[in-house]
Amino acid sequence: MIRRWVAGRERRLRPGARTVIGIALLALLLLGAVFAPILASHPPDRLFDAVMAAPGTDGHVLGTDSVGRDVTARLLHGARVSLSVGVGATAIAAVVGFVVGGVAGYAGGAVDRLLMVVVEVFLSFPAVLLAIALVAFMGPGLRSVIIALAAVGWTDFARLVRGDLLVLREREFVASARAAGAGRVRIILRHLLPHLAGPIIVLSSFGLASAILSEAALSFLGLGVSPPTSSWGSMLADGRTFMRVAPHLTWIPGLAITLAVLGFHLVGDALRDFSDPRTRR
Amino acid sequence: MTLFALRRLLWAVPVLLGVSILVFTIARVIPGDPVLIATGLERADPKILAETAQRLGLDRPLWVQYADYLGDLVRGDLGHSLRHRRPVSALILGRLPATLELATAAFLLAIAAGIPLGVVAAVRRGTGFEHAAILGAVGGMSVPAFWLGLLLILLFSLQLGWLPATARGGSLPGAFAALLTGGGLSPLWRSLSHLLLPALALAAPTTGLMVRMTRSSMLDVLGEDYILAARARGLSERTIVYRHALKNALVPVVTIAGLFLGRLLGGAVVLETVFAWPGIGRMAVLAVRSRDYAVIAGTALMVAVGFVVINAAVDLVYAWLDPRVRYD
Repeated sequence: MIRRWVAGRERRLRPGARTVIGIALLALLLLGAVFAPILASHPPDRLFDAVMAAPGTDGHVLGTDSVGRDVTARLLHGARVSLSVGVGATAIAAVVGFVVGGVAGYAGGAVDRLLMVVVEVFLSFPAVLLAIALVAFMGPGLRSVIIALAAVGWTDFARLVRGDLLVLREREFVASARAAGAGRVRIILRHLLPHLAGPIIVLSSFGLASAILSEAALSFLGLGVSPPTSSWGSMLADGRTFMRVAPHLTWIPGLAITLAVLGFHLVGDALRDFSDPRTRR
Repeated sequence: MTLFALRRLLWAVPVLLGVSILVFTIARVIPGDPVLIATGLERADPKILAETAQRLGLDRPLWVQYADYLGDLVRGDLGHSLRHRRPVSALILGRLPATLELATAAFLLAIAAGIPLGVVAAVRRGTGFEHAAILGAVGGMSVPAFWLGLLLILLFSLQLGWLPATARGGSLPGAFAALLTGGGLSPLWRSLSHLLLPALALAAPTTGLMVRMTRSSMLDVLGEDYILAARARGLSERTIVYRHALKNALVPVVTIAGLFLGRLLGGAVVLETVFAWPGIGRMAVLAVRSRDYAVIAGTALMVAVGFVVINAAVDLVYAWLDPRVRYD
C-alpha cells in the first residue's frame, strides 16, 4: 500500500530528461552571474594587446573581443545584466498584471470591460516594437529597458489572473469567506492568491525567457545598457562587425542567450506539468 | 451574423482609440521635453524652444494636443520625418510590402515545417522522435532569430558563398509578374535567393510554436470519442489521422494565425536590421539612431492598427466558417 503510494509519487516527481537539462542550464546561469567576479580571471573592461584572439590563446579561454577584452569575463558579467533585467522586468510585470487582472476579474462588469480594452491595446503592438518605441522615447539604459519589458509583459499576467479569478470567485469557499465578513482585499490576498500562485510562477518562467530574449534584441540594436557594461546582445552586435575574421565573437554570446532562454522554457514546462498534471502527456 | 459582425467591429473602436492614446502618451508625455523631441535637437536656446513650442502647439493642454493628433490620424497624417523630409505615412507605405513579403514567407515556411512535424510527433507518441521534436521546438523558440540570421549568413554567404547576405532582390510579386510576361526566371531567382535566409531565420521561433501547438491539439483530438468510434469501425490509422483528426486539430492553430503574424512582424523589426532588408522594421531602428521620432511613433501606430484590423477580419472569417462561434 505504502509502496504503491510512494511509487505513484515517484513517477510524479521523477524529472524527465528535458527538465534535468533545464535545471542544469539555469543552475549554470545563476552560478555564472553570482560568482562572475570570482570565476572570471580578468576584469570585463581590461584591454589586452591581443585583439580578437581565438579561444584558448594566452589564457583567454573564450578569446578576446574586437578591442581586446576577455570574452569569458564579459560573458559572465553579461549574465548578470540578462538575469537582473529579466527578473526586474518580470517581477514588475507580474505585480502590475496581478493588480489589473485582480481588479478586472473580481469587479467584473464595466470595470472588467474597460481593463480588457487596455490589455487588448498593449497586445496590439508586437512586443519588440513597443519596447523599441518606449526605450527610444525614455532614452537608453538599464532602467528604461526594464520598464519597457515590463510594459510589454504585464498583459499575460493580467489575462491569467483575470481568467482564473472569474472562475474562482464563484466557488463556495469565497462565498463562505464573504459570509464570515472578510473584505475584498482580504479575500483576494488570503483566499484567492494561494490558488493563483502556481500559474503565476509558471508564467514567470516563460516571462523571464522572453524578457531575456527581448533584452538581447534591444542591446543588439544598441538600445540596451550603456556601452562599458557588457551585455550578450551588445557583444553580439560587436561580433557581427567582425564575423568573417572572428566568428567566435558571434557564436559565443548567441549560444549563451539561446541556452539561458532554453533553460527558462524547459523549467517553465516542467513547472506547468508539475502544478497541473492534466497537461502532462 | 450581421449582429456579430457589428459587435466585433464596434469592439475594435475603443481598442483603436486606446492604441492612439498609448502612442500619444509614449511620444508626448513620457519624454521630459517634447519640444526637443519634435525638433530633433538635444538642447537649444530657451527662447527658440518657447517659440517652437508655440508654433507646434506644444504649450497647450494635453487633451487639446491629443484631439489635434487624433484629427491628423483620421486624415492619414502621421507627421513628418525630420531626416527624410517626407510624410511618415508615405515612408511606411513604401516599405510595408518588403516587410509583409518577409513575414508571409516566414509564415508559410513555419506552416510547411511545423504542422507535419507536430502531427508526426503526436502520432508517434512516446517515441524518440516525439522527444526530439519537442526539444527541437523549444530550441527553435529559444534561439534569437537575429542570431540565427547571423549564423545563416556566416555559413551560406561568407563560407559557402551560395546565397547573398543582405538586401532585397526585387519584389517577389514583381518577379512573378516578370515570369508571366516573358521576363524569364532570373528575376524570380534573384528575389528568392535574397528572401530565403531572412525568411528561414524569422520562421524558426514560429515553427517551434507551431510544432508544439499542433502536437498538443492533435493529442486532444486523438483522445476524442469519435476517433475511438472510427477505430472501432476498423478504419486504417492513416484515414483516422489525416481524414478525421487533422482537420479538427488544426482549428485552434488556425484561430491564432493573427497572433503568429504579430510575432513575425515583431521579429522582422530586428531581423531586417541584420539582413539590411528595406522594410519598416529597419526604418524604425534607423529612426531611433537618427532621433527621427515621428517615424518611430508612426510605425508603431501603423503596425498596431494593422494588427487590430487583421484580427477583426480573422474573427469575422472564422465566425462565417464556424457558426458556433457567433453564440459565444
